[in-house]
Amino acid sequence: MRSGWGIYTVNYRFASGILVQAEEARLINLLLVDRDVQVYQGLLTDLHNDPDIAAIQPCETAQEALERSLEGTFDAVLINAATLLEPQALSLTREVSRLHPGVRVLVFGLPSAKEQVLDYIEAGADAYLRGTQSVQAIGRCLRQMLRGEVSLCPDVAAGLLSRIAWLAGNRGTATTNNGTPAALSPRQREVLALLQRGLSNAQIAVQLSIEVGTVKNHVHNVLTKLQTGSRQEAAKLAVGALGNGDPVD
Amino acid sequence: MDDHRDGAGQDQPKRLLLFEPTQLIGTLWQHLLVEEAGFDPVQLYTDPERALQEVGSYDVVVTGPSLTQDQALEFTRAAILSRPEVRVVVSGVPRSETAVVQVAEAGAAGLVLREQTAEQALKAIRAAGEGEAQIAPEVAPLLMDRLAELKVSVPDADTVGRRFLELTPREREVLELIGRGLTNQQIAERLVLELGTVKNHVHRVLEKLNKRSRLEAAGYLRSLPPGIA
Repeated sequence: MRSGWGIYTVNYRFASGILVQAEEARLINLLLVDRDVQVYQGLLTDLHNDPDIAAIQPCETAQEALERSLEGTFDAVLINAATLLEPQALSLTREVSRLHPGVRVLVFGLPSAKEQVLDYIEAGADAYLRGTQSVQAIGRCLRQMLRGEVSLCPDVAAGLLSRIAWLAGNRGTATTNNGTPAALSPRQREVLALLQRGLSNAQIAVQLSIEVGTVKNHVHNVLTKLQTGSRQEAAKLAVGALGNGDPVD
Repeated sequence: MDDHRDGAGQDQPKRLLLFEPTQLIGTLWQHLLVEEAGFDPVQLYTDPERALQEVGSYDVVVTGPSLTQDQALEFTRAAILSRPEVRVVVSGVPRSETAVVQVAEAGAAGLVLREQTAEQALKAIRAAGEGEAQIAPEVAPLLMDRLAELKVSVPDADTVGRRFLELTPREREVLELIGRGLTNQQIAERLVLELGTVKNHVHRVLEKLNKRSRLEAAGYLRSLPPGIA
């Protein structure tokens, strides 16, 4: 989790009056990046009576947003992806979360396609809303994000899990070599260690007291996981894959 | 629950495998899943080796709450290795960043936190059966941050096969044959095309995928997430 988040949560609670310590209270400052003036005015009205929101400032372009000194000034940036041009909204999301990890990013007006929502999450968005939403809905999503919570749509949640697994190398055939060692089960690591010593399937079966057929399955799975077609190559890769301790000895 | 559901357009009930080493907990879980989640059958296994042997014939796998984190992770990875399309829901996950992220990275299609109710657990398992997921709002930010981090560390990852989708149907065919190691001549014969045409296609494929060689293009094809190519 990024640093900085806890601080905001704590201050938000102070401000909510859970702990009344006026001198520590720090209100939320927002930057809205949107070409639609009506959204700004609507949000201004909606958030006006919220004791935790100090101010909301509008700006119209991604360029303008990036020229501002965000860190320390703003706690969250709200981006309307519907009124910014597509690549701009996405790259603004990426830039803000890269340059200012302490600043939360809420993107609204997103297309409904799951893949596009996930692109924004990959770019560092902390909360999102699809389609055209009322300012009240944006306000609710914002408050939830500031509490450290996000309600993910079921399709986005599924996509999020599968992208994480895929990037970590445990789903599909894609692996980076650094994802490989963790992906092998302890039994597969044992088999791999024996392969590396040049043992045949029958010898491995004897060594591990299991059926030859089971060994064949393990070998097949190890080769698949290491993305290699031969035992010899797997044995070479084993040096890296078994890097943290040989489980056999 | 006994009605025979084979009407047109009616989805087949999904098959669920439950792995829980404590018999009592497993039996209780099994009853709940049969009654409330609409899976049929719900088969309980208390032995991991047996459970893994049977994974091949199930759509959804649920790991029980009495497993340790390491056991749950190991079982999840092993289940996915023997049946890549199976959807694993890990239950009893402690609400810590490490635990939640590990479960997601191991390939789980859903997770149920220790403090979540039976109702929420059933919702999460039903969602997994439908190819969706229910993630508790409190842990969603952990996973969103993790995805963003992973994306930064693997910047060239084409997570949705975007470049693949830019290929024309013919170019996809050519790529597939490149992936199988065919030469231009062999591809020409297979697709009944002029050699020159094949060379053009190959050139376009490499260009669109931003790859320098056929080998790299074949590697890209293998690296695509399941369900695209």
